[in-house]
Amino acid sequence: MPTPVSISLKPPMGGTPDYRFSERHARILDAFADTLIPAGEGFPAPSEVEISGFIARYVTPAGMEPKWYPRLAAEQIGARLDSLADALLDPDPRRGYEAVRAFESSEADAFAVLRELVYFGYYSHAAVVRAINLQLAAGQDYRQTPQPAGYLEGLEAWDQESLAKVRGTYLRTEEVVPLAFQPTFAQKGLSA
Amino acid sequence: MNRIDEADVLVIGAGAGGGAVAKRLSDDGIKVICLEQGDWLHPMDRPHMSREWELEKRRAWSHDPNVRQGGEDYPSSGANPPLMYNAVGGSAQIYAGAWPRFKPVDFRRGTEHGLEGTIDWPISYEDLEPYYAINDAEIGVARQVGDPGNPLRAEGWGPAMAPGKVGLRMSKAFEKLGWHWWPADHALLTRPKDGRLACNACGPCLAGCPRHSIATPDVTYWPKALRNGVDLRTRARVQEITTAGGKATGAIYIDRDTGARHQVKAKIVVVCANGVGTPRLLLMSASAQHPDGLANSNGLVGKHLMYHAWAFEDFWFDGPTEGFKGPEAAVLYSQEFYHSDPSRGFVNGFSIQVGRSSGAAHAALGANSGHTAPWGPRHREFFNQHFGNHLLVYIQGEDLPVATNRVTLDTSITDSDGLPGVHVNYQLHENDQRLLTFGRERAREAAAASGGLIDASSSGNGGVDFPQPGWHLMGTCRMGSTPENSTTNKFNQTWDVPNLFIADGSSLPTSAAVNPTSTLQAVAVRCAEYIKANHAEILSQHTTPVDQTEPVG
Ligand SMILES: Cc1cc2nc3c(=O)[nH]c(=O)nc-3n(C[C@H](O)[C@H](O)[C@H](O)COP(=O)(O)OP(=O)(O)OC[C@H]3O[C@@H](n4cnc5c(N)ncnc54)[C@H](O)[C@@H]3O)c2cc1C
Repeated sequence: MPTPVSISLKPPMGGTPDYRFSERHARILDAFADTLIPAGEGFPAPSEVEISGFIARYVTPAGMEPKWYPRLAAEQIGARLDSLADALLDPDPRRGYEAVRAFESSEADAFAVLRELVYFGYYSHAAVVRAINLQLAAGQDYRQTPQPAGYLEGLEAWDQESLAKVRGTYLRTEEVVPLAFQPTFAQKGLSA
Repeated sequence: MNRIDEADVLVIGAGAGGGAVAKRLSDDGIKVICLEQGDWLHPMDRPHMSREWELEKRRAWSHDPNVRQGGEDYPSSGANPPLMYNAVGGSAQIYAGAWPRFKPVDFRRGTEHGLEGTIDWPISYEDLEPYYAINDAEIGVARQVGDPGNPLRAEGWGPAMAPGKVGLRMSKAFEKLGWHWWPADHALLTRPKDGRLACNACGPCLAGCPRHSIATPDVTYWPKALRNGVDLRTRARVQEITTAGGKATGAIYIDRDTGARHQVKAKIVVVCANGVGTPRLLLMSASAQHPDGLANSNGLVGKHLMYHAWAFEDFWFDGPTEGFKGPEAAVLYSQEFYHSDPSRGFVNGFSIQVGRSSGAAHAALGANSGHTAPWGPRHREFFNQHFGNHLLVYIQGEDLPVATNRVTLDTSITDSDGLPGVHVNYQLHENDQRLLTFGRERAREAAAASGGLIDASSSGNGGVDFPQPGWHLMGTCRMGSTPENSTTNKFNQTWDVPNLFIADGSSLPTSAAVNPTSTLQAVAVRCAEYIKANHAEILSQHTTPVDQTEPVG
């Protein structure tokens, strides 16, 4: 009898559609993300770019083992959002801010994972990439995905004059002797 | 045993070393079977066209098998995990294709200082040079010839990759300081070859290359090897190399689809399972005749592991670098501090490599050193200042071969077929810590010289603040000149078993201060040429010869 099949299960790219936040949890998560990345200066708020929908794709539904990054179980994120609900849904944004600060200082690792997901989700959204293009001198050419276009066009070429000035040397095989007897490069006048 | 097959040569592992060996042997009609525990990869497996490409580098495209946990992977314990990929193409499936060569001095560090486990290579740069050239021609490299800091090399298949703003900025800085620098060689195409597209500078090479511009063995050596008739079996995990009468007789492998055991009988066995997988397999192949593992009568299998000494220095400037443009491998390097100068307080040296950035999330999440954008009201200002204005300088130092830096079996963890995982102990030697400290100061000096520096952040001497990245797995079954100081002779023939060869990262006796794959592939090509030229003689040997002559003139 052959032993059972071992299938190479890889984490599905882009996560899975298996999990959905309740409307209430989505609102809390939106508020959390908006606290991390406030809108302004031409950039949208995370809640405007479907951040909770993005994060949901990386939540492992109840009853399944959270095997891969971000290893976020549905029960775990649900409980977390419930614990932040009062503060984050309060009309006074200072309460939300303080609650997030308290979360960060009391459970740094759990906070870091959620922050990472917010940053990953936010900065990969087409509307945010558009804002980067429009608002940042260094980001005019930035694209949402590296392929298929790439960035070869306009990439600056080597400066031939600089190349011609490069100095350098190396030890030949027969020049290698014990260090005690080996002149340093500076002594040999070889250092650039 | 369900099935028994026979070959002239059995190659274990279809990665950088295995691909080269299988192809070169089969060029001469030698019947080769290759067993590979992983799969073929499809370009659409890559994340480059997906919005989530940055996040996915932490999942299917993580470099750490403990994170991916694929059926083809095996687990490791220890604070500094070895990083690798298990597939046709091996770890090159996630490599950057940085393609420097070792320098002549790198083959003679034993003569120079002999510290810790340092030995001379049993060959010289000149011995290996023809095989570097053969390998470069097989795979296609991008190169600017004329580096005065290294022996002359032939033209590449295409010109060096364009530097962009990052490369120009730092080349000017090195020029200002009067330090050596040169455009980096890359194992990637800057013009098309064999149906592979030229690189379009998209960026995330460390998640592989869907254009096949990067020279990974699945697109360089393997198509030719298959045309030559090599029988490559994927999802075939070797559990044991078999021996009889002092000779290797083949291997037993597990078909990962069915769990069935099969045997391949071969006249010669070449192990190419990498600097961790090769010692693992040799240790798993212990028997009454080889109680401490195969080829391990001197106890050296698994010892002297080298990863390179690494430190990552992130720098941000007051103007665009557009570091998201261009391949991920270093765009240029300085080898101003490559040679040993004991007045600095350490032996060996380092390359200063200038790397680019990545995407917007990478910028927000602190680039390479954890300098994460704050959340809250200051987020926007930080991000806007840092995104696209960044470059990375990394110090890549030669690390000493230390006997306690070592791969052993860990039977408390197993792969998907129940075979033992590995325990890897890797700690930086004091010499290498000092080297990194000195190197990091030079990195800061160079970044400052480029002007307009507004922020900087460091990983520290990797291994102190962060684990040392185990990207380069070297030295664990090294070549040497005597059966006492090494596992194989100078043609990769194990001292204990003359028809058992090892040709992969584990063969390298020292790490040099450059990426290893051009060198380990040159060693693998040389090993194949030796087997081709001496096939009959090898089969009649009962002891492994110490001195032989080069196979090609
Ligand atoms: C993130 C990253 C970036 C890198 N960048 C660079 C770079 O820019 N330049 C450079 O020079 N190097 C780079 N490297 C290193 C480079 O990938 C390796 O040096 C090279 O792939 C090692 O070749 P190898 O033949 O020793 O092993 P590998 O290429 O790892 O191949 C070993 C193969 O053996 C198979 N195998 C192992 N055990 C078994 C078994 N029991 N049965 C069957 N099959 C088995 C594995 O599945 C694997 O496919 C990088 C590595 C990483 C991880």
